[in-house]
Amino acid sequence: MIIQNIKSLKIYKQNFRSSQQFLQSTKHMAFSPLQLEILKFYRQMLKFANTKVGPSRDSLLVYIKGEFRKNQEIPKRQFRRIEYLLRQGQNRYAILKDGNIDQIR
Amino acid sequence: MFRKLSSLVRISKFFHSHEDSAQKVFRDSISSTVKGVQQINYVVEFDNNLSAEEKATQKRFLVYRYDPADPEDFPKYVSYYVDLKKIPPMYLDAILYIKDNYDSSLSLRRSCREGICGSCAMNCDGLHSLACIKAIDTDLTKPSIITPLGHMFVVKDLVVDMTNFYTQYKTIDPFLKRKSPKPDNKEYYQSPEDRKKLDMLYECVLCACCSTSCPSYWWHPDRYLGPAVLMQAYRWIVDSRDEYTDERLEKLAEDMRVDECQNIGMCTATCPKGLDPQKSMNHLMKLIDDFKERRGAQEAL
Repeated sequence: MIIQNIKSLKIYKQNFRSSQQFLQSTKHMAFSPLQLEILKFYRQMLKFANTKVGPSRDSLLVYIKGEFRKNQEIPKRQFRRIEYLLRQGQNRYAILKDGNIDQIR
Repeated sequence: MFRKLSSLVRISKFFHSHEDSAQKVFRDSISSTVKGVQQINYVVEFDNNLSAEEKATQKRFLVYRYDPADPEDFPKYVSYYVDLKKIPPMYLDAILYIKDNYDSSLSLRRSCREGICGSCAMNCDGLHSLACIKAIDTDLTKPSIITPLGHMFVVKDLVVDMTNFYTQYKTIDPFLKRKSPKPDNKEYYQSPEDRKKLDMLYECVLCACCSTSCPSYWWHPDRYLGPAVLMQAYRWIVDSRDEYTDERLEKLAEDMRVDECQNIGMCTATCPKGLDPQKSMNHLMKLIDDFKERRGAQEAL
């Protein structure tokens, strides 16, 4: 009985240590699905900006980062507002992608 | 139920040669059910300091207001009192009167004021319609409820996000496609009988009233193309000048995006131009079935 208890205690301690390590490595809670969608969209926009060359690329990156940073303080419960901004961003991205637009300044 | 109503409509046509009264019977029976569905959650009174006598002589408008870009705002109905003697008879005139005199922050789309551009499509008193050609109900005891098009994302107040609708319209290739050049290099000839087939199809103004009143489109806006787009697809298939009929039918047949039509009939009841998308869609499905049979027979050979 005592040996079994010591064994289970060891296993518990091992597991506990590893989950602590995991939490320390990530340093935050898991992203919500909406946050994941926005991060995915952000990456998509950065990849799109990287396809351009020269000053158009720089100005586009400044614009994209500015738009995202402007609204980064919205609390994550305000779904309506966040989804509205995401939709606006996607509409603008569709226009930038399809039209023969060179720069945004 | 619809068949019985349609026979009523045909009888009344003998007595009133007006198209309007016959349609009005049909519409009233539908809008009574639609009106019951609207739930008014939050009404804000627009400060006017009106006395009760003044309010009794004026019409009350409950207009949907919401600014998603504003962090403190939430969807609400704001009530405005408008004297109907001061304005022309249509809903658009009332809304513009409100915008000019009471609250200039009210956002709406409008352009031609005669029902030809399709910009001012909104829900007036239960039914989707063009605000510039729909007359205000002059009953002063009931408020008039104005909301944006149903089941569409709101950009601000009565302005709605139509990008999904337009991308769907783009997918059907709404332009003339030819394989052979013009005969004599002059023009594409068309007989009067073939031109008659395009009547009640070409007048479509793409206001999206029909698509946004179709419950099938509400539940599957990404999959189902909607009555407006399908009616235009039918218009290009039926056009005798267009030579890509088989390719168009094949594109519609393979995607199964036409099958969601349940023959509900709200599209025809709602159309502000008096067109019949339901009939066109039924014809279209028949054409697609014929095409599938032909294709199956050809492959069997």
